[in-house]
Amino acid sequence: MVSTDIKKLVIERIERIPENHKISIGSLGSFSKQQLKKEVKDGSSIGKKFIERELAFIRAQARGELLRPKEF
Amino acid sequence: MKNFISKIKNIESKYTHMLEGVRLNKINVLKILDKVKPELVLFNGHGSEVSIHGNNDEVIMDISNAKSLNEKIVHALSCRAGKELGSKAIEAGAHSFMGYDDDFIFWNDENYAGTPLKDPLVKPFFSPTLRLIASLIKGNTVREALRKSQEEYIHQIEKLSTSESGENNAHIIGDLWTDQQHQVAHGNLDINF
Repeated sequence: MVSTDIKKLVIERIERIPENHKISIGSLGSFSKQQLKKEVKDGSSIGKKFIERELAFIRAQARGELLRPKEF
Repeated sequence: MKNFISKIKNIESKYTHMLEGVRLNKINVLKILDKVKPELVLFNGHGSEVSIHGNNDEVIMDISNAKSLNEKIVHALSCRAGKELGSKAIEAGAHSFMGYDDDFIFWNDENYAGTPLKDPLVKPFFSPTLRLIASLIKGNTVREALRKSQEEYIHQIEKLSTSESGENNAHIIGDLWTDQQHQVAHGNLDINF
């Protein structure tokens, strides 16, 4: 269950995306900014996935991990 | 892709076999793997944790025919195939398997719908794969190729972060970083093509 505050944060971040940008999520399909907002508001599996990725990114930014290569 | 490969190393196009469109089906894939016995196999298509898909979403590689990847170096730009198919391919005899263990995400600009190759939003997401492939073809080890790919991810993230439209690119940077984190590899990473 995603909190209302987190949904609100993610939707605010989506609002900043230019209208002509679309996201392609593997075989799940391609989504416009408005479609993405709806998926997040509706709490769909796509919306939840997007929120999960956003939160992971925000945490990585806060920890200063964005420019760290993955070791193999 | 054939031209790209030929440019990196002087490999005559007769030594590269490309399947795309209607020819990208299971029968043709298995025929090439069995008869030509390529050392390096590059997949680019939809996928799942246990499969890679071709034309019309037909499954062209899964756990049941992973033995066809025996003694090969494999890269799959296919969602989630690196999660389970990758390790099964190694068990079936593949030297190494590189890919992603989650959905591969990228952004595109609708204004370039007719000319996707010129879309500046798409390039950052695919250049790490091209860098990896180029590194492999030049004879570097799988480990070195992955290092180059990771280096390219960081380069693209830095470039987007410092660009004038940095604030408008936060979503692109986020998903680029996520793809980078989900890049995985199995098997012998110290082998080269």
